[in-house]
Amino acid sequence: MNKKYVLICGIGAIILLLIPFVGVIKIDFNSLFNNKQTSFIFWQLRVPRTILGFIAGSSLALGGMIFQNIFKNSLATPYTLGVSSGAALGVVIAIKLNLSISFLGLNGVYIYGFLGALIAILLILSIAKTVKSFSIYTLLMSGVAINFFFSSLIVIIQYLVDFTQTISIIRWLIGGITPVGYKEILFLLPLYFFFITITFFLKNELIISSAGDEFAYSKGLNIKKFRIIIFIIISFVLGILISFVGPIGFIGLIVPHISRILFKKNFKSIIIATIIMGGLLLAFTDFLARILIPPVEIPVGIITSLIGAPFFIFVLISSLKNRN
Amino acid sequence: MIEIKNLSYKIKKTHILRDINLKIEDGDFWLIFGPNGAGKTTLLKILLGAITDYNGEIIIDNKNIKRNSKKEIAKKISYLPQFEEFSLPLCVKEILLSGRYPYTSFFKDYSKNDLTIFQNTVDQFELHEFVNRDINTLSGGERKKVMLASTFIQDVSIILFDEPFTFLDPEAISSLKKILTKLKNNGKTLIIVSHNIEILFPIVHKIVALKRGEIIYSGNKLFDKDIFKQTYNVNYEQLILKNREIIYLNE
Repeated sequence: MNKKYVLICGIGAIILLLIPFVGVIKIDFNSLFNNKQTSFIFWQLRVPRTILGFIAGSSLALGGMIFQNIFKNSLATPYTLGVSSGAALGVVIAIKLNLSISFLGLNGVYIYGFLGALIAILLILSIAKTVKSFSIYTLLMSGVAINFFFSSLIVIIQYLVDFTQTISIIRWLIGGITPVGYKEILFLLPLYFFFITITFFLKNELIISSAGDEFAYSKGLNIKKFRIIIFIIISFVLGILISFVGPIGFIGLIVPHISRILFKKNFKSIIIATIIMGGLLLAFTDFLARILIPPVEIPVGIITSLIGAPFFIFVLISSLKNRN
Repeated sequence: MIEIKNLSYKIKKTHILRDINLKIEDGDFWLIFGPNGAGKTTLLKILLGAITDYNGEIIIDNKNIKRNSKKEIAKKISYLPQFEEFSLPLCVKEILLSGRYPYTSFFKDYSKNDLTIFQNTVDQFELHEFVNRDINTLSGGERKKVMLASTFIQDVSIILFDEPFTFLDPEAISSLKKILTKLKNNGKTLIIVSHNIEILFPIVHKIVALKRGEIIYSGNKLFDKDIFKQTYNVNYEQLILKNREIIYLNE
């Protein structure tokens, strides 16, 4: 067992266990079972929220890592390629048109998140097909364009809806983790395990695709087909997830990057580290969002960007220095 | 044996390759040369299966490659690109092991046998000190060695090289030349795209002179002055002189 692993897992476990105890209402261990009010806050609000944060964070990080591999570029994440804004547009349209189908006792808005993400990807693919080029450049540029286009559509919709809807849209767009109870978690858990399992099964393909298209063909991997499979999996998993927590941006960019620096030698460890650190980072930033300006809650997306952007620059500079 | 029959390839309305016919016997060592934009790399990519919307037929061992899966093709052919670009950190061991990918079945990891073959190749190529390193920290010559080793692990009979000598220092060039000679003696079919004819002429069997997508000459007449004049618009001595300058500039 690697020392770095033990360290990450140890710190992670401690953080995760402590998070639900701290907040506007302090909870001590004794009142967990005796006091009705605090035990509700602990078990029904803070614990599921921490779990949801972990699931969402590690999925976003894993999605980022996978996109970086198939595009061989550390800037290519579902967020930068417009998949997140596709999901966001789907959800915003659903809120505006009151398109809420109830499914398994949950607001069915996530179906629109998935459809939005899928449409974004289909658009990128059809642009790539018309210019007969699946190069990283084409895909990234069309992703950026789609990102802008969808973002402006979202803004237009915000002008069209009434004030209360606007607030809920803005709040959701910045990203926030606000579950009540375990319904969301029970719904997302199978999706989460599916995502992790499939990533491990496709480990070798992901390694090969990160070494370039010609390399992939020369090793017998049909890279075009593989990319399409990945697109569908990602838009399915992240489209649904994003409709629950909003398009939280920086996790998919930073976490895989740090994992790669820490675990250069083994892609499997990179996957595991991405899952653990992604979950920890979002659970922890959500915790900060909860306690920084009590009793107000800052949307977690703002915190991830505030911490994420400078940290990313720092990591980038130090890795560039090492290379030279 | 590779048979290329009436191969043409167009991007929009521009012909990249036009009516290519070529028969490459097992164990042949071919050099493909010609000015930039002649379609040399495209030809390699078509053989590799990376480009499929061409006209004509590519037949390898009596089977049309369009009817083969990519994995089946990769059991026969491997390709060494001109530049190995790895923008993400990637461990040498993982690159080497991916040579066994064509032999894995869907959703299955590398077997014990794959790992043994990997270990033997590491021993043979003396790659021990590199195995656990990030490929990006290796020199150009070391990378070439790793990529070559990965084709060994892949156990192919045909190896395609795209400009293997660019960015190599004289020492790396001579060691690559030795490896090529060894591969030739082991009966591998080698197809090399290169401008560095002075390095390769002593060891190749046959040449293809390509210009603007068409074959000017193919066969075993190596030192024919007219062929060079026609392909490069300079004579053999001038071409070698130019290549020396390029190598010198790379230093």
